[in-house]
Amino acid sequence: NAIYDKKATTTSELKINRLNVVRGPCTGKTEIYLLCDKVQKDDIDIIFSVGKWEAKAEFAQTDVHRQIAIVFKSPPYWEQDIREEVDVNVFLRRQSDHMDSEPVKFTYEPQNQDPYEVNRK
Amino acid sequence: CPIYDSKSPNASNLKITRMDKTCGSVLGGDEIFLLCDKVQKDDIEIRFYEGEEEEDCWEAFGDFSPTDVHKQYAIVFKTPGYHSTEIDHSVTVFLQLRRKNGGDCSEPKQFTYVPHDRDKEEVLRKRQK
Repeated sequence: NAIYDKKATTTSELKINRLNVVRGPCTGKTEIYLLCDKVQKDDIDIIFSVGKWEAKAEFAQTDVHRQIAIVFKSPPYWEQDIREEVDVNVFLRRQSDHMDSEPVKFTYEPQNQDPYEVNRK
Repeated sequence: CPIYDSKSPNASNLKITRMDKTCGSVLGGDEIFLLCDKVQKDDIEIRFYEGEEEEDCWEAFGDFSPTDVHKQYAIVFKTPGYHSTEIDHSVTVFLQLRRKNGGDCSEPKQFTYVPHDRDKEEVLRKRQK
């Protein structure tokens, strides 16, 4: 069994370094690779948020790679009938002390990108 | 059977765990996130190759700098172009991690080059706007 430096990952600052994908459909399920500073796989959530809305990204502990990368799926946006792109924040949250990382931007795209639909609005 | 010191990145086995893409343009330049076992940022290369025989083997290397190696366990790189950009169907090659010093290699993963399609590229470019 690996020995983790528990002190570091339970109190250290959370940080997202890089995402491979920064936009996806409002239906969610976009697979995203996130590179980060060390996290504990059983003590971390990825939160999508804008205004009062928050949703957790979907991943298993086995999707946390060596404490420094997480492969996850975007949650669906709360509103499926959006006509224009919506920017939201993505950040890491440690479950044990509710500490959040600085956010990075993710853009939800409308499901139906038919230009005539957009024009009709 | 060699005995590896599992704590030393020089002695442990190289392994590609996961990649966010396994296909890309024949022209190269596609960004790939690769998750791996421990590597040293100054002593690692990503080798694309085709063919088993030494003499007619094509090889090219993924493009990245040491700062693209994240905490020794992930690499963000750009694919090299295939040797011929004039392919009319997809071509599957291999890639592997290789130490610059010593030449140790990981098990290969497949990567598929897809033909350059100007029409499709136009559509993608418009969609990204």
